[in-house]
Amino acid sequence: MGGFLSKIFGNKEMRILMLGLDAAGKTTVLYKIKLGQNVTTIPTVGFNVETVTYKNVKFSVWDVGGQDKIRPLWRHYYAGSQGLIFVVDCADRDRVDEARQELHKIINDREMKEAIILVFANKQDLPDAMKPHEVQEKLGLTRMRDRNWYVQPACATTGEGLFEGFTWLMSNNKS
Amino acid sequence: MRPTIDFRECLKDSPKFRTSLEGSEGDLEILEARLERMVKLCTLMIETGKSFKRASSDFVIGVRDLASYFKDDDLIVDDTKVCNCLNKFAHEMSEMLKYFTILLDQANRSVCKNLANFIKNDIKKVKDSKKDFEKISDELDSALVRNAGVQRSKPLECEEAANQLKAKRSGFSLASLDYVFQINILHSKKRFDILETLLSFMHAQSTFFHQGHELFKEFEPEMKCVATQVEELSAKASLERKDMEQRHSLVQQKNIKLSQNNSNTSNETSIQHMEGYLFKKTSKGFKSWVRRWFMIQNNQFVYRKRSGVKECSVMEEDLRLCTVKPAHETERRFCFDVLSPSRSHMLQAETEDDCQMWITEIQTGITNAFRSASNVQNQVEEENEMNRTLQTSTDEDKVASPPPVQQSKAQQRMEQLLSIPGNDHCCDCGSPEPRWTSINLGITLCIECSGIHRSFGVHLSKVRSITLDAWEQEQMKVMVELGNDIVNRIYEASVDESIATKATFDCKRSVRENWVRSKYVDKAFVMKLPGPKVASRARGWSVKRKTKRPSPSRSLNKDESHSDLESDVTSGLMEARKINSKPPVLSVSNTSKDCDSGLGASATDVIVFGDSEIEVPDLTTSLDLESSEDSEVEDDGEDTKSTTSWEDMSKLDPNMLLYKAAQARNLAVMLEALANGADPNWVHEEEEGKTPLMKVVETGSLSACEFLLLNGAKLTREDKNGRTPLHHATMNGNTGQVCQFLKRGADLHSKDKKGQDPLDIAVSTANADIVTLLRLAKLNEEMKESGGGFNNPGDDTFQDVFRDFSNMASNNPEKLKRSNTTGSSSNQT
Repeated sequence: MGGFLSKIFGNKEMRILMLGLDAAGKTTVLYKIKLGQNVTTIPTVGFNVETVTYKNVKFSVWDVGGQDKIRPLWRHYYAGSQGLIFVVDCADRDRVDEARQELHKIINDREMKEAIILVFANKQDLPDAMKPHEVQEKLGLTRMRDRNWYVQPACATTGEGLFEGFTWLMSNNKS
Repeated sequence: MRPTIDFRECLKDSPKFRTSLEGSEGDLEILEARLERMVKLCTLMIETGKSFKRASSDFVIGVRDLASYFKDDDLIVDDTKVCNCLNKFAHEMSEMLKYFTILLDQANRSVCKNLANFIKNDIKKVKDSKKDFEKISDELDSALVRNAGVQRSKPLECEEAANQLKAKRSGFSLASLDYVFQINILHSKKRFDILETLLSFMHAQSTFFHQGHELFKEFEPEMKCVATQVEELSAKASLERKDMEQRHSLVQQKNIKLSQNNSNTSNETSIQHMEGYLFKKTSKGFKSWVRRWFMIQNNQFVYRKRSGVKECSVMEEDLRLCTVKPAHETERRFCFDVLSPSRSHMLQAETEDDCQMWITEIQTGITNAFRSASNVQNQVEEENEMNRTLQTSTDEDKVASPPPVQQSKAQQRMEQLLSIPGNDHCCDCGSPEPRWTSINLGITLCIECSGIHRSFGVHLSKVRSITLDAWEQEQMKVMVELGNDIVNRIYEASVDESIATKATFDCKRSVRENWVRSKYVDKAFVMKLPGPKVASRARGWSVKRKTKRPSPSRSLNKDESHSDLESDVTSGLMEARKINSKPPVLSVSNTSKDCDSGLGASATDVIVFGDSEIEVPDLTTSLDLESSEDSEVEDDGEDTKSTTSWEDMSKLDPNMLLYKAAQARNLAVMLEALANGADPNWVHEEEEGKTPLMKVVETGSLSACEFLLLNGAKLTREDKNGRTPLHHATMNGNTGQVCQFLKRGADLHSKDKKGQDPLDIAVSTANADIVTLLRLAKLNEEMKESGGGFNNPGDDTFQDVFRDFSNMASNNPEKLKRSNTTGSSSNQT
């Protein structure tokens, strides 16, 4: 029935999986988008899921905790995800290589082959934050031609860049 | 008693004989009939006995079944007792039945068979003789008649008849004698035969009862014992009954108290284990609501019907993949959603409180699932690691690794970290059992405060979970050197609650945020370095050198390290006032009269940073501290002193303090300098433009290096000779640090003023380990470039080797030592 209605009203649904290292700002992104306000988060043990309707598209955004030991659980969330949001803490230069490895682990998974990839280069407000092009380089995206990816500079606490990112997701969604 | 028939009478064939014969025969008939009846009765008795026996053994089986019912529950001692007794009874009874079977058998053999034989043989024989007798009697009669009827005129016939008669008579005499003999014999035989038979039956009876008697005689003590048990049990039962009556009244009281709350939580027993009824929206067909009993079990969320089905249905099989949140958008009240990646379930509680309780409960369940899973995961990992070390170091006979402790790595880490002074409570709000840390500040935090730390950005605080994150050895070392007590002496040195209210474990979010922000971002409570007023009075300052713990393998500087062991951890600037002659932070050597301030001292005083005494539990056994680190400094005469060289008070500024603390590898003082605004990349112009990091390299300390790196020290900085920290580490032959820097992506290609890159230096100093590491890093870099960033296999190999090296540097530095000595000696020339 949902499909029928959405055909009439042009509503679309999109399942988005949001991953990234711990403390990258995933939960902050989720609630900034959902509530429009900056909530102070605590580390996510488990996951959060919210539906956000933006420009007639109903996004269900899955935000999964990013601590090292619970990353193996990420794969349980792959199935059915049309888009991946990978959030990177641009101030954390020490761990950008770790982020690269995790990102490639995700997108090389069979179940994520079809997903489009949005990278939020988050925390642009912090001193010495990596710029989008630098993030793109360090994540090993620059030479990746077989996937649809996009790096969006963002600041989750202020909300800058978030809607631009979702707009990109919406317009690049295949179905 | 009937007289025997006289043989003479028998020859006469007198009526008397006949009468007595008839009498005898009649008597015989009666005997036979009675005997036959006896046999019949006996058979009947045996049959009935057999069916009694069958019924009895069925009964015994029944008793055994009953016993097994009690046996089902092994946990209850009393039940086992009952079971044992019943089994004993059954055993006795079956013994009795065995005897009874024997009795029946005896009856059959003695009574039935003997009597039947008597009828069949003896009586039959008499009967046979009777027939003969009657026949010959008839023949005699006819012979007599014939003989009487013969005419005189026929002498021949007369003679013949007479002959015949004669013959018959003699035959009759014989037969009748025989017959009478038989009868007489029988009459005499029946007496003892029958008696004997019945006597043997009586014997059998007697034996049966005797055996029974014996059996029960033996069993008697047992029975007495059971009797006392029965008494005990009944006493117990009445006690329990009383108990239960009281319990009942308790429940009644409680019901009055919580009259509206009819949830099924039994508060006393199961705070962490809630179960109860919820309405569940069915997933298929008409979305109806059904009431089910829900519970959290083995990290799963399961439910079952009230009756009927015994097994629980699993609603969610891994709670780690679940989340729970209230469902406000439905028409029904008190609803909440349980969500997993592929499903969602709507559940309804009975009251709002109940609903909240369930949500909290499931959240706790999820957290617990993560905890227990991380333990298991760690254990597996640990085993793998163990195997690896066994494989890699087969040539070392020192392997003798301690038996794997059952504790998982995460648990161990938790214990170690919480044993550091102050770490058992959150550094900022004091809530117990913190499970999070800030690795650059060296403190433990609760999850709430960790959230606030994360919001500052990694340049201020790097948050890690103790159990959910992977830990590097070096990070642990930093944690061990600091800890909440030490760090709070710096960051809460002069708390001013007018700036921010101190956070407590249950304070409001805003209070907590304000407090943590003031403490670490604004650094509002940090004591400033001594100003010019003090400076004018003190002659100079120095930093307390961080002691090296004596490691069993190396006993250098033995005396000194012993004395230092007691007073090794430090800092918290100028908290001096409360402690009498030994101000904890700035301890003044040549202590003067004016010791109450600890600062006010005569002009000859020297301020020593980090000389306070804190009781530190001896962690050396569980945690390798500095014992693990390369220590080239021993060669250096100056560095064996317990403090750094004195500096003039005019040079006391945060940057210089950081530099000196780095030289003294004193993490506490380094943190203090940073809190006072020191630049981690400050350049000491007078010492070839070295940064604190380069200075630390000289000490070989991994923890001090890690601390600086975590707090923003850059590996890219060069001194006046164009050398990066990696150059310095290579020149010093500090394999552990080379490894540490390479892991953090230090630039392999940077060249110093002489045009040498680190590899050139390593090759020229012939340091094999470092050459290997540098070449490996180079190879990895090339593979990464050609692989275009995809997850290349080089990543894993590289990381494995580096992990091995850093483990070795942390745990067995003496293994790396060989190259160090050659490295440093050639280096110094």
